[in-house]
Amino acid sequence: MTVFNPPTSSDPHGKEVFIRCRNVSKSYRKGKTIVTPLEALDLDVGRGEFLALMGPSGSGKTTLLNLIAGIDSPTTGELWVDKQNLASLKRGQLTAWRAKHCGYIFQLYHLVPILTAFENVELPLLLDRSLSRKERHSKVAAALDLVGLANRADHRPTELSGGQEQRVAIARAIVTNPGLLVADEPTGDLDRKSATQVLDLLREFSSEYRKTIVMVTHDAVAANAAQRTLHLEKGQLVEQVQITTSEPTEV
Amino acid sequence: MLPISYAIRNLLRDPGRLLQKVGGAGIVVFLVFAAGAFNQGMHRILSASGSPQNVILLGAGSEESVERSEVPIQAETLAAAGIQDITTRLGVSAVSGEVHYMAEVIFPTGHKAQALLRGVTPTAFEVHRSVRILKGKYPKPGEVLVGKLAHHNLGVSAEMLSPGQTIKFEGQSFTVAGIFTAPGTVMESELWFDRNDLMTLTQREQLSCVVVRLESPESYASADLFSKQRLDLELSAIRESDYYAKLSAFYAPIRTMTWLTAALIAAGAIFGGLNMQYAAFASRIRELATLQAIGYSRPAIYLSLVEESLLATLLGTLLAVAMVLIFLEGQTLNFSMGVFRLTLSGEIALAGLLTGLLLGIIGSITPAIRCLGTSLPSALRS
Amino acid sequence: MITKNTLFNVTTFILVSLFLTACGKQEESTNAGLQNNGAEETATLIRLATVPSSAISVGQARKTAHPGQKIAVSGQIGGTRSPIAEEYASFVITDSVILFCNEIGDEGCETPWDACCEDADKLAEHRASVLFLNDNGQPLNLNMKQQPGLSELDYVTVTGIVAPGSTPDNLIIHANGLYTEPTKL
Ligand SMILES: Nc1ncnc2c1ncn2[C@@H]1O[C@H](COP(=O)(O)OP(=O)(O)O)[C@@H](O)[C@H]1O
Ligand SMILES: [Mg+2]
Repeated sequence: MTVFNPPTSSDPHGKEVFIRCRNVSKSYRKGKTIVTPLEALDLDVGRGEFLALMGPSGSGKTTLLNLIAGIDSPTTGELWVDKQNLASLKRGQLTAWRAKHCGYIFQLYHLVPILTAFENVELPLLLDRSLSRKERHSKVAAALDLVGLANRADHRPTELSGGQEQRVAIARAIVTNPGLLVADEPTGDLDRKSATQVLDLLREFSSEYRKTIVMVTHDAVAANAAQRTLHLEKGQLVEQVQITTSEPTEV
Repeated sequence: MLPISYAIRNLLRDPGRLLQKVGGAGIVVFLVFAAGAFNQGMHRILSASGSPQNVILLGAGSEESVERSEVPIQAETLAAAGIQDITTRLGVSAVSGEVHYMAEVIFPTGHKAQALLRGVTPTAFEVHRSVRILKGKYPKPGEVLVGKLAHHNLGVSAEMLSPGQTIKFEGQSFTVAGIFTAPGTVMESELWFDRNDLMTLTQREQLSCVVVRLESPESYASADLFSKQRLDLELSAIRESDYYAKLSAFYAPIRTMTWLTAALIAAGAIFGGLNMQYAAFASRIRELATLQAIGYSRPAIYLSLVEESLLATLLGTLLAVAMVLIFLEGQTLNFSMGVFRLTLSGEIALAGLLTGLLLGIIGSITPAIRCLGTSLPSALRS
Repeated sequence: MITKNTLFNVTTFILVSLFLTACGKQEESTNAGLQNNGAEETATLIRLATVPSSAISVGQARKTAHPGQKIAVSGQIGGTRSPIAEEYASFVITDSVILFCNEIGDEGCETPWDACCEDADKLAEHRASVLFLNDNGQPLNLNMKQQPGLSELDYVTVTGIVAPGSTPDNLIIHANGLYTEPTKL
């Protein structure tokens, strides 16, 4: 186990850096005490990389994810996503940024119960006024097709299984074709089979569509789907070096 | 911007709550309609009853009430001679000495009712130009001419006051000679007698007033001068329109009361509605946060919430309009001056619509602000 | 309408009247030259500088006056709800023995010049109607509240003749002279 040292110019794989956190801290005021789940954190994620974040409950995983997704702003530090310093954006600007650049996948799907699968997926597209109704519909159809739910377009969330709901949520996250996908324990509520489907989709987005994906998970199997896994502990990121790695014998 | 369908479907989420909201708004708007129709109806009949061309000569000191006023009988001829610019038709001067009286009449069925009686001579028609006989004829002694709406005022069917029927006043029987109309005025609620009959039966020697119709409203000064030149007659010359405007002002407290009642109930409804609306929005905090995470701005969501609330209150307004058309429109209402009809005028409809809008906006503004006030990360966690 | 000019005139006459009164000159009178806006009739309203010595009270006049008689009567404008006519030069004067509403301590009264609480018969015997005629013998068109600026409760003296239609019950003075208490204008 070694402390992860962020490279200065490019990530360890030598790819283009897509997410760069520098000295990022996040504090919350809880009554009179101040909680600091993230402290002076550095992180680089390459474009198209699929990163898994693990760590004990309360370690700040969701907090970090929210910062990367532009849901929340860091207390201090710089946070660049695809050449945009999120730390410098105001709330309204962040909202507009999210609409274009980031898809968020939640553990509990967060579908709007009164809307059909189709309408749920359509929601983010309605923000883009340049799209015609026809364009919107073909994008929604394509997204639902991609997650294998073309035949469930007219179903309400209550008429879908958990796995299907999560796939609808994924379709909603990717329908605007954002460069970044964040997922907070996306398989945490799913059975193994559904979880596999979801993880396969994420992997596919990373490898075939070069989406940068940051996924929080408690599940080692899920983490295995990612290219790299980082651990959050006490506000810091650490890389777990596989213990099984054969020690170099004699040279 | 969230599509309006989102707001509509949110409304349908909880039909019980929707019904409550629509019903509540409906009742409040209905009250506004009712108060408006009542006040406007009363105001209209009083303002329509007075013509600016007519001057009423009342006994000095009784300027507020023609029923209490006493005017010497010779004032009628003196006024005809002393006031300039009196309208004439076929040689008849428009000067009408009248007796106004409120008393009980008895129907053959035994039904008793307080009636507005007016003792007139044929010149009354020269002065009150809107009066037309619809059926029958001008009353001879022993007969009575009945206003079209008098039966409402007396609480009997129209048949009981149709020509040929009889009523009793001061022990004497009177036959209905005809029906008259005087659209929108208090006269329509009255019973018109031959003046001598009324004076004899009530043992009056004085008139209640002398009404004079002038060539133009400006000629009033001449009537006013007459009243000042004939101090011995103790007269006060008042424009008929002013007389009824004063009466209308007299009823202002009643009007204020009706508005106050409507306002209080509306305030109660708004406070109740606020809590309900807050509960409705609060149960959706996570969903509203998700919308923000997707990229909807707070104002956009805010708008959708207000839209949702407005839809309900406007539905309520529609319901109120339906209730008005079913229960209120065309109904007649009695007050001490006579009978007026309730109608939904454009102004009142507008007031109701504004109430519906305000209920929707005020009822959702604070709940929406409170629900959207939570920070996005914590709202997503909830 | 009060134009600057007429306002000037009125002010001048007030000043002249005051001056003359101060000098103690007798029976000086001036034609006020008051004219109704645009009307062709010539006004016959003469502003008196002093109270004519022959002036009697309204009550006295009511007892003695007979039609055609030359008369000067002093009293106070009031005694009815609206004592000053709107468009004609006419008003009601009442004897000072009559107590107006403001004199009996009725503070909130909207028409303090009304004699609402006086005995009706007594009031009737102490009131007279004043009318200024034009040259044609018709009521003079003039709003006296504007010109010369009369108001209720003013103390005035009028000179003229008792109108032909006057009766013991109803005294009408066809006036041509008007004196107003200086402090009241
Ligand atoms: N909005 C907030 N206000 C106060 N404290 C918060 C807030 N969000 C997170 N925290 C605190 O920050 C810490 C990290 O939370 P979180 O990021 O949700 O952890 P994880 O997702 O790893 O379980 C926790 O102690 C939590 O109580
Ligand atoms: Mg978490």
